[in-house]
Amino acid sequence: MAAVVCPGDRLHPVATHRAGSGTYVHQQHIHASLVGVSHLQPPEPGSDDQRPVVSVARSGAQPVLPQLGDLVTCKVTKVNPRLASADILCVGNRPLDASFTGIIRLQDVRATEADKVEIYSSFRPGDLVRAEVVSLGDSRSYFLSTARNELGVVYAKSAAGVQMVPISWQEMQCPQSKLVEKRKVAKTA
Amino acid sequence: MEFVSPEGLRIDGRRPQELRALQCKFGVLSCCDGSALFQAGNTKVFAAVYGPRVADIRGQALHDRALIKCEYAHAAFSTGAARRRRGRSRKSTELAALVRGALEQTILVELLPRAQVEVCIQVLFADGGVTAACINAAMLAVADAGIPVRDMVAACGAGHLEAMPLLDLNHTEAATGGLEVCVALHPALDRVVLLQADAKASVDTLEAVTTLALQGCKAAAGAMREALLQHVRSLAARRGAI
Amino acid sequence: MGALVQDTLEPDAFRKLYPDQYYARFVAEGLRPDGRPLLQARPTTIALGAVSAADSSALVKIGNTTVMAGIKLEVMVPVDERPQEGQVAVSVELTALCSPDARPGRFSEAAHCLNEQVSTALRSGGVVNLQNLLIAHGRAAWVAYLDLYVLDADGGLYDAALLAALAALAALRLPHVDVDDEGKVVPAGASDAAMVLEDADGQRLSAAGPAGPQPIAHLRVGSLPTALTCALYNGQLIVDPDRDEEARAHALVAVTVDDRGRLLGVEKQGGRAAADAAALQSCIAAARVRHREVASLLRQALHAATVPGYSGADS
Repeated sequence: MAAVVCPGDRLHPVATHRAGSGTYVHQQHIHASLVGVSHLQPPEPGSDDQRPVVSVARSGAQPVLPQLGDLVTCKVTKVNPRLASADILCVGNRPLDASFTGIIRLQDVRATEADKVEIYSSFRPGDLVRAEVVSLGDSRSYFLSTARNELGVVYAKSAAGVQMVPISWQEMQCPQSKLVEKRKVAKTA
Repeated sequence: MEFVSPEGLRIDGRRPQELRALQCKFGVLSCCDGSALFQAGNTKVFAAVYGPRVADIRGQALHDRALIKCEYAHAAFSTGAARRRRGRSRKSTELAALVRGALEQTILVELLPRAQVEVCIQVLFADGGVTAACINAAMLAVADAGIPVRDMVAACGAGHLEAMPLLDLNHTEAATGGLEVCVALHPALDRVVLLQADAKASVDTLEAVTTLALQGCKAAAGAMREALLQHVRSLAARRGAI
Repeated sequence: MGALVQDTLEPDAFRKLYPDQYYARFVAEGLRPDGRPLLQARPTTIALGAVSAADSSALVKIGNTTVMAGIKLEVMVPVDERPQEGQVAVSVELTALCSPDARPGRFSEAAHCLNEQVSTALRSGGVVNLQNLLIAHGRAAWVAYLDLYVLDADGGLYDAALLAALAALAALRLPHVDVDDEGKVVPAGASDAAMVLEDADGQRLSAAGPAGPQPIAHLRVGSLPTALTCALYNGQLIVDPDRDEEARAHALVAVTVDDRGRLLGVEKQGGRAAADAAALQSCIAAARVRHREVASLLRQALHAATVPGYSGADS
């Protein structure tokens, strides 16, 4: 059931089908909103709504936007006593084409002892951080959180410019100079 | 100069109600999210779309919908007349505003809150029907970028010369200063999105010319649709999706 | 543990998160992410005459980088100090299309620099003999407005802009005109000129007289200088870098050479590393090799467009 459709093409009536991604509803009909290949997905057996879902998929690249609950990888750009600012680079495994900003506020850095957190001991500019989107935020940036064990810094360079090795959930060590720096480290299983 | 010969041919050999040959190409530029080249006869327009992305000027972002921006520029050598000096003129700003208006009615802006979609248009050869070509090029670039739209938008111009409505005037025909109308249409929803008319004319003439322009829009929409479908089919075939 | 995280990533994500390591791995193998060997330039095409409203036009693509050149001729009164010369006025614009950072209205620094580089290369390469633009000594001459538009900026802008400028100039045809007794410029051989051509305040010159198309002469171009931009990275020479490679390079060197392999210009703009004499020598050698490829392509394009003087064979 793969047909190529253009935006505005009338696909199916709302009475018999559900609108999926790449479509919109206008006057009781489902229309395509993208140019691409239309798919029909049969309904879950036993679900309340037995209408199949019609969607249109671009065969090229789909513009990706971070959504609530997504795990993202971002690069810290600025640090001040109240928050760390970061550029969101990847959503899950998919790199983003455009740049989005995220903010990790003091209360979102970690779950335990949240009142004793110091931003400067958790993140530094240039660190790669794995975080979760907790809010679409204000008009400027997304709000991110690293308040789980598996979230936090995944890659950081020491003052000497060498990649550091994590030695605990809040410390990383430079293999060259042996100096220890404090970070909120992501626990990788 | 006679614009329509006794045999009914115009100076470029077309019939009065004949559209110029249209050509559409996609993905022609590498730095942007979507791009297209649209040609109607000699008129040649490039369009590039950057977006959806975070608004350049944070204060301008709208909390519940996307912000559409449009930039228009033409090459200094783009017309057969004297070299056009660079810089914004009122006409350029008006053209950019017309294209933006047509796109704001076409793009499903509520699906992209706080995002910005910027459309950049560059005219390389302006041989009449520039407004329509810019709208069409912008539409193709938006479709190439995968931005959700409620319908295609197809635009076409028409004029009135020697007591006859003529479709898709070229530069020489338009330069006479007679009535020229530009119409943009949502073909599937059958809604007129833009109507712009220059020069004084009687209501009957205006109606005849507008009706002709609408027919031209439908023909242009058909050609653009075919080109889009062809492009997507070849992309999907390469990926094995069809 | 950090290394493990890197290895489990998809190539696209790895490229986004660790761009330096991604690129360094390729260069260490003598390749680049697009599969080219380090010393190979991107595929180059030249298309002449795409815009017939211009007196001459050329569209040049080097990889994705796309530059459109167009020339419009107007008549001017020669300046007092140089009564037998016309002018070539070069203008470069980075269109809003070409990159997410280019914004029109603000005439960017990069466009200014490109303008200077191209103008200097055309002048020092002796491309146009300005006396060939003369119409009547002290009374009328051609000014060729050469406008360059960068449509897609993917590295090597100077190389593409110079090539487009050259192609447009070499394919330029000058209408045969005379100056009549009243000082007006008219098509040569027109008796009672139905189309009189105005002068000096920049009004349009029509090349079609009452008797049909006028006899026209090609502008004889003196030489064909070409340019090559190279990047220095981790001690390696990388020829014709694209936009990402230019951003990553430790230094960028642009070399301009002429037909005889003579050096017309070397420019190293800043960068994080110095380029020693050996590195510069390899850049110059690479530029000479590139000149042969590009000049041959240009000659073929001019030959196909029936511009006299270009046989299309390598000379």
